[in-house]
Amino acid sequence: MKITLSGNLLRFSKFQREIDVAAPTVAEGLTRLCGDMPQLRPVLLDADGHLRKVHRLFVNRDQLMNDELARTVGADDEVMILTAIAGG
Amino acid sequence: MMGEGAGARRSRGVTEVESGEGDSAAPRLQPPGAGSLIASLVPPEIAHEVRARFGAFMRDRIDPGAAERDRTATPISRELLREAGALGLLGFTVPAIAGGAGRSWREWGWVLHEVGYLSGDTSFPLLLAYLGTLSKMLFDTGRDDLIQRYVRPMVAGHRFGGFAWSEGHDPFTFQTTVEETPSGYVIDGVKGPIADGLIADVFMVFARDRRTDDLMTVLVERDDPGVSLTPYPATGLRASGMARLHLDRVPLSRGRVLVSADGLSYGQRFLNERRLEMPCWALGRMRALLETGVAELAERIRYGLPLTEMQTIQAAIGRMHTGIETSRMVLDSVLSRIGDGLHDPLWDPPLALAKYHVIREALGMCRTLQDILGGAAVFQAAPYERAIRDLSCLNAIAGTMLTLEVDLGILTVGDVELRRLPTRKRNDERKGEP
Repeated sequence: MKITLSGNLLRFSKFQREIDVAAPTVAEGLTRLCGDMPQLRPVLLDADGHLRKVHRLFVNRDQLMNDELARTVGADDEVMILTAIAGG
Repeated sequence: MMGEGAGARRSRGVTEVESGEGDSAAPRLQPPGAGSLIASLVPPEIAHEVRARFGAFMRDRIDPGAAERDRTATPISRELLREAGALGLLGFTVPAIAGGAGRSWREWGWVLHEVGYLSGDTSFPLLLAYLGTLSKMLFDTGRDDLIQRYVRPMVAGHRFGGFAWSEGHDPFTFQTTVEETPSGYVIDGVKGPIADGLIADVFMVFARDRRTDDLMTVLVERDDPGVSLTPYPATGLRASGMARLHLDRVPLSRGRVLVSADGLSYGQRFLNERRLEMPCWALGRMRALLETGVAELAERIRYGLPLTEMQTIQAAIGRMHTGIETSRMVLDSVLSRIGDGLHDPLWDPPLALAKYHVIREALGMCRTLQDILGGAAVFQAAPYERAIRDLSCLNAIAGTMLTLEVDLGILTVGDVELRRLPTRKRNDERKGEP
């Protein structure tokens, strides 16, 4: 799958916007992404390894809820993560 | 209700009443009657309820002393907030089982609007909205220990909560930390500004777990050992009790943990709701300012004419009126959305848009008032100077206007990219066709 990051997530991927990840499911893809880019892990995942609720995750055009991340994906699928966070 | 006795004057349907002492320089407004020419989307039963139940309290208890509190950055007293609690203003959306009124978000939004319109102290509706959301968040934990210890007293106005999120960094780089100990936790750091820090008894604090690096949410009480507060007054909203919270290795029991993981998302809920509450009461203040301003302009003579007879002034008034009415329409739409449960509880684009639109109009209105009122807009004796400073502060609350633009921009770009995705795929597939 190709994972696309944007906005305030980019500084945690050294401004790499598109990352190819080989994994059979979205959840495993996120785990591998965070393994390759450890600085993304605390931003994307909470202490229990779950995707933080502030992120919106899409596979192609479908938005997935946090309990749907076991969805299987292929090499051509595009995963987009959008984040809006307030306050500082 | 105050009558038109000594010190009262009437112009163009707005009665200004000057009191005998204290804040006498600031005219008070009475709401327009049924014959108002200005369209109103505010449910009349809510406007009537607010005036009947809370109007006298704001006129007789909140407004006197507002200018002095602003001048000295003195918080609205706990005694006044206790009275607000007794009137039912601190638990409007909290279910009756915890002592609240159990009313809807839509009703609460319009109540805040009317309070913003009637109250001469802008910090008052700010505190009502802020304290109400904290009580509701604690109620929604479902924990009876928290409901008994905090929610019930907060709704009654005997205890007050504070939201300790900000540190001056984005939440990924918060420096305040929580460390687990054999008996519980220890929290260390500095949080602030906190809108009601000098008033609050208990703080909802967001701090980084030293073990996991994740954000936790814990409750810290003002009397806990190692807690201290320092005033942190701003340009406006100076009666809210703005402060910084210093946490010097404060020990906490395990029961003080609200959220052990993903406090980042938990905190967004408060900020999300604040982006709707704030424009509700700000719009009420804008409406009061417009009416006061028009009344004043009608009495000022230039080149032999009242200023309100000049087309350039009429156009400016029309712009401000348009800003108020479009803001009211935006709020009506978003309050319906939240009432129907259609909103994203963590970061809802229409809620962000509500803050963005209303506060942009408020800031524009401040500038227009300064342009057309001249000196009257800058002297403390007039009713505009303090309100302009108060409204100017709203840029920064619950996501600065610039941050909201960035976030809305990110979501818009993402939305466009998502919509283009199938087309791009089809093009890719075509490349392989003979």
